[in-house]
Amino acid sequence: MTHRADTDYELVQRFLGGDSLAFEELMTAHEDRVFGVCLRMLRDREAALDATQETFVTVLRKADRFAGRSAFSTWLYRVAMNTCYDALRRRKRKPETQLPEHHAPPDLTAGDELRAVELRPDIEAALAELPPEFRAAVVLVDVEGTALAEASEILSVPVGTIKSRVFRGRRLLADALGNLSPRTGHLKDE
Amino acid sequence: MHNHDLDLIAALAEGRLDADQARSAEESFAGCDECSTNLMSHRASLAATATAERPGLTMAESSELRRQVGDAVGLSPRIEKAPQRRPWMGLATAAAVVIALIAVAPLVNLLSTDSDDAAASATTIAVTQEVAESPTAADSAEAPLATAAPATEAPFAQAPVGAAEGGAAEFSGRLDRDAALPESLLDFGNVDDLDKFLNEVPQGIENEAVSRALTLLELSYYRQEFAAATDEVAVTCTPDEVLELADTADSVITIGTADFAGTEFLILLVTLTDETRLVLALDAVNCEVLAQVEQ
Repeated sequence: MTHRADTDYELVQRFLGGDSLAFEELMTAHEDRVFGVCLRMLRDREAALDATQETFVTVLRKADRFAGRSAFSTWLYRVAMNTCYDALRRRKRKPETQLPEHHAPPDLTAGDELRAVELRPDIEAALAELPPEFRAAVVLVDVEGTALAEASEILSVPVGTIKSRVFRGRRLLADALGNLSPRTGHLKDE
Repeated sequence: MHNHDLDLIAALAEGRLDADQARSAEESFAGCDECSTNLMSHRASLAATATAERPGLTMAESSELRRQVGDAVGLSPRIEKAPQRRPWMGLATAAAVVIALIAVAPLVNLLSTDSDDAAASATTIAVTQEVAESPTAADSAEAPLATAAPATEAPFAQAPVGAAEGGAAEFSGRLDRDAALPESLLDFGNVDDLDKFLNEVPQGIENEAVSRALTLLELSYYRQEFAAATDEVAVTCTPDEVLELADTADSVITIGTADFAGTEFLILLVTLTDETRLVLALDAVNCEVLAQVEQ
């Protein structure tokens, strides 16, 4: 266990004992990163905020089931990812907010939403081009620096699958970046 | 075509090889277009993601997030001080109201055979009276969802069901959502979603009902918002506790569960003694019925 994992375990125990300070510390440690992952998965700030809230509520309500066998953060990000997948599925059912299919024209509003948080629009638009499972793998491993083993736990797939998704995701990302206008973040040829 | 190890390409791109290994790998990739393309892709992608910024919450967003999460998980002093309710009272409440509706529906039809609106209004009045007579109604004044008698006083098999035995066969119409359903089922939901739920679930089989109910779980979000803004008490409503009611109905079967917006949901199929079947979408945390349909 890492120091962070040990600390999280202690914080969870204190939280279960009603320590509101422990709650604050857990939120401080993880809220930005959970939000960042959700924002990159959902490409919409409001949706990412909702997903972040849902993630913490879900995890903290079930905190008594956390036995510390894996890192708290692994569990937290697994819930976050599942929450994002659920949100994407719900969004997909609504035609007016349907996600663009791979190789389809990009969502031209995605860059606007992400620019609001001063992210680089070219990278974000390129990430947004990836299918969700590849985006999740690339965001976790390459953007967030999560180890392959932990990413495989978070996404509940074998390490080999994570590797494959990261590798293919990198190719797709490079392709998308190559097709993007660096100033606008929009595809050159569309 | 070369059959190069993708791990090696990734390791080279990620800079995990020492100088000798890197040189050797570069040489082996030199004559392989596919390998070179892969390597370039890895490097371009890694260079881009390395410079990607990490988005963060604003102070206001962080503060609001913590308030919402804190309320939802019971860290709010207001919630901690609230009195405990019986965990299965929500289901019993809904059952009592539904049975009251079933019981009075034939009477309503007799009193007003040519006016659906009037019938619906009369049904509403009957439900309101049932609620008003409830000894817990006053206690629940600040919690609009808890509006009927305790389960011990209005179990599925008591008088309302007896009344329904004579009338349920005649009661074939769906409940009029706008007029006849108790307010508790309308206050916090998206009305369009509730309409969809009411219109579509009765047509389906159980699995279909579950599937459709799950698409309606967004309603729980509104419930959660409401709970955070009132003195509603978060209690635990486990399937076992819900199934305590099974001996007062022919059966209460949990046919689905789900998590949404941090709220655990139970989808129950309740068969009453007259074989009337209800599908209830029940918030498993505070035991409130979110939506219901008759099959």
